[in-house]
Amino acid sequence: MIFSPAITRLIEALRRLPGIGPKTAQRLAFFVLSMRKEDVEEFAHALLDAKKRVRQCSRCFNLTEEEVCSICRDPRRESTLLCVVQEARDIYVIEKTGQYRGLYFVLHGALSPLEGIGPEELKIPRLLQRLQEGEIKEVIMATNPNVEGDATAFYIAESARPLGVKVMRIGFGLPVGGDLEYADQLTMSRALEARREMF
Amino acid sequence: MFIKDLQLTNFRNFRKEMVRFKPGLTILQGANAQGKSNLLEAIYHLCLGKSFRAFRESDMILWNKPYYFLQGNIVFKNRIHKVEIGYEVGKRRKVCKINGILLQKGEDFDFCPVVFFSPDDLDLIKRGPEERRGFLDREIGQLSAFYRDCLQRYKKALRQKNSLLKINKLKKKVDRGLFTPWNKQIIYFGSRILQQRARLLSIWGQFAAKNFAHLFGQGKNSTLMLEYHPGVTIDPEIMNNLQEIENEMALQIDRATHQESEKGFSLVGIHKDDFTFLLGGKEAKRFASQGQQRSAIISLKAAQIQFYSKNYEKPIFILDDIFSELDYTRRKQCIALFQEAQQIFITHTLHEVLKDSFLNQKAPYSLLKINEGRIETVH
Ligand SMILES: Nc1ncnc2c1ncn2[C@@H]1O[C@H](COP(=O)(O)OP(=O)(O)OP(=O)(O)O)[C@@H](O)[C@H]1O
Ligand SMILES: [Mg+2]
Ligand SMILES: [Zn+2]
Repeated sequence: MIFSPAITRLIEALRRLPGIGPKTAQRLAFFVLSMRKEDVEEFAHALLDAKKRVRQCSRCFNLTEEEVCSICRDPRRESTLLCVVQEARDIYVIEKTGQYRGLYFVLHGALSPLEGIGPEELKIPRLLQRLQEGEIKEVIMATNPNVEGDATAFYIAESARPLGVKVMRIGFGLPVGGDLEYADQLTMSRALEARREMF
Repeated sequence: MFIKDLQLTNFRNFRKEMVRFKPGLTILQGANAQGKSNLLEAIYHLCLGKSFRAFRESDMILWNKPYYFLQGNIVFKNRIHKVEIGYEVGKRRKVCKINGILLQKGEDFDFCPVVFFSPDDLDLIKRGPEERRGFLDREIGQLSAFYRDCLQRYKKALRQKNSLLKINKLKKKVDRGLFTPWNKQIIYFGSRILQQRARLLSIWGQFAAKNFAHLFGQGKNSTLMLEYHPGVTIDPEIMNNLQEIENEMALQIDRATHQESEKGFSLVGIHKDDFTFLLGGKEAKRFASQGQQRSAIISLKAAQIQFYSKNYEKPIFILDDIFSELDYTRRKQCIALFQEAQQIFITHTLHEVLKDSFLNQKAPYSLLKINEGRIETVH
């Protein structure tokens, strides 16, 4: 089927989103076209506004609308404890548990030579710099429980060793693949079960 | 373990079929391209949650249909388990339910004792190391989710390391410290894989040796041995000690550093493993006759069945197209093994040829006729 140029452009734009295939993109495009003009305007505005306002926190690289994010500014948080995560959204997973009272650091990815990602492509040099400052006494590595996440955790632990900082791996053993996002109670216990050797 | 019944909807060339099975021997009879292997694939799929030959889930959908669906009851550990598996083109998602409970993404099927034997297995001895590793991974993976997980992670870590070695060779020098996180995992998972492979080969080897001697009579030239050749040299003495295997692996990978960076890919690890069949102490690949090689394979398949039946439960034994490939003697050898399985499925194009081997046994068997995607129960 041939769409008008504007529709084609909309479909192509939607396809750039993760998890959106050609069929879904078409469906969404036609839905957008059926919406009221004011609603579409509000939608477009929300996209642009978020993009304009949101940036990375200069301390931890979490997403924020200020120079320094609210977690970094919170004086009640344990300032000697740092939890390192791959993505900003992982912070919300951990915050939801209400168990953690320290600070965070977002790497924005994990080591993966196959995708051309080395320490320089991540915030690793900035993290080591932060550790050198000396306030952080303990680091908890909460990178994803997969091969790349483990490699990243290991690399950082090795690099931090000479700095005398204690580095721990988050306590879910080594669950089967997947992202931290899915690391709920269920997947964790299941992963540990899978680790029980059968013979 | 045995399968009680199976319902196929839009699966391969079956539109809508329902079959009941009994324990013991079932013969699937039909001309070529009628759906015999397809039915075996469905049975295997129901038990293990995956196919033995489909590259894609969608390959299993009856052409031009939007989905396939399999449903059946399996008797395992003295309980009936209802298994449902479906795949829809549009959703691109496989849905598996066991006793009505939906399996989560990445969640594995409970392990089921099934032994599959196809003509491809017959030249396992002649083929390359990669096929033999594939055999080990399939068979051990079926036993252990832990093994599958280790293997998947090992392969990923290896690909990452190889990618670094390539960058190092072709583009720019890579800092040694960047190799360590991948090597660590290669060693961690590799040592566990190595230990499992050694253990299983040793257990199967013992059963296989007995079987071979039984089929061929005792004698100097009829001793069969399976010999494991790991890609990292490990003294059999330390095979029980994971820590020592790890240390040895680390040492050998470290020693290969220079050579690996020159080649631009990894040279040491369990991705170089192999195993050989020895007959009377000589390598079967080079010296054994065609018939001896096939008997060695039958002995190994039998070993797998015996291993399951001894440690877990009598398995399901699936033989696809095997009989047309074997001579009378070896057919009889195969049949002698049937008693160790609880349910046996075999395919054949001509009922007549099978008569001698089966009816002699006077054992009752079920006969299913398969014709253009229709299944008819004869008895
Ligand atoms: N997805 C599918 N949809 C429809 N038909 C299919 C599909 N996949 C395979 N077939 C067809 O099913 C037919 C039967 O295949 P099958 O391998 O089961 O034959 P068989 O009875 O085992 O024959 P043989 O004795 O030659 O091994 C083949 O002709 C094949 O083209
Ligand atoms: Mg066939
Ligand atoms: Zn911050």
